[in-house]
Amino acid sequence: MTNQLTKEEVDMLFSFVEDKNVRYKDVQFEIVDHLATAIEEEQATDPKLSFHNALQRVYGKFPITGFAMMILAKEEELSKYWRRRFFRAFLDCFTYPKVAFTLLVSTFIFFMLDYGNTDSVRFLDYIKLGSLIATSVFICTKSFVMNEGHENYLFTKTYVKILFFVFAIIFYARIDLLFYEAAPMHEVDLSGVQCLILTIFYSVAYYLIYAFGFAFPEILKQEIYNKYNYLGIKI
Amino acid sequence: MLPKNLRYIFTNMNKKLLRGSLETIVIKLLSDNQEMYGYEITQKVKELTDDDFKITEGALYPTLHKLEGKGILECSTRSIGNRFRKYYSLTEAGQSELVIMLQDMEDYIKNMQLILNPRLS
Repeated sequence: MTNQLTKEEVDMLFSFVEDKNVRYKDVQFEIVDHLATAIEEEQATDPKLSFHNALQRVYGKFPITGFAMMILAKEEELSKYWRRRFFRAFLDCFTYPKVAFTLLVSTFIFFMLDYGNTDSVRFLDYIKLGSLIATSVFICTKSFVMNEGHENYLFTKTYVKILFFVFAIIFYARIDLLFYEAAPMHEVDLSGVQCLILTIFYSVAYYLIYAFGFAFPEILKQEIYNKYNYLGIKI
Repeated sequence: MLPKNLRYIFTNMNKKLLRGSLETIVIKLLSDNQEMYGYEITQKVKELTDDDFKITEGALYPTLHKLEGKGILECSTRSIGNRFRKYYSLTEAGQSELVIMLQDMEDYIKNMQLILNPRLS
């Protein structure tokens, strides 16, 4: 049976880990537990060993790069994890009854374009950018991730990175420009194929905005509830 | 006793082989023990191999995070006195991955034996 480290010693480990450039709290917890368990084992085999000497002995077993490689590997894996979760969440949007709603919206967009002209494209684009900016403002002001400081946790930092990436895709994807280039000054009627392409483009874009503003933040809430409850983040 | 330079080569070879098999080792241990934490895995490997295999923290955690990222492992956190501990366990995908990995490893060992010691076949 090993003696557990005191709260003060555990706090010292948190400071030690922070001094070694581990600034993410979620990573700190895992490293601190590893160091604490190893120190307890060292002290169990050599009861006269002081806490500080045991810590130096345990830290000496880490590679020369310290904890840096661990953080890099974790960051890479978390980015992959979020990408996979976002993609799955996006695919989940294509289930009943959401898919029925999408078909309804897509039909509306198609007829709007079919009976309209390039002005209709401009209108759809304003809706896309307007709702994207409104959703982004909502996320930035109301989201607990931004309020709590996403830079403090590696899992939220990687989450926000992917969220920015999704934002950039929606923002910069401008299929409408192709049609303006063809007719910069005039309103031009669109062909059936052009209407279909634009309908698919705007339906996917609106779906992405929905996922960006509602589905993805919901995933993060679930993750915090299931995996990171111990960090005490208020949702 | 091996000369010093040969011992160095063998130790290095051992490390390389170990690094290549780390995922299989971790998955197998988690399958046998339901759930484990990082330090426990390093100690278990030492214990099972009579201190022959030493998994370093620098190799173990990236592997655990990689497997977690792939959806092979999942983790849960529990309070242990005045700190929290992260436990890793296999997901359903991890269970099926284990069967494939063990089969691959068995085939690999069999083929290596055929190459290194043809008489055994």
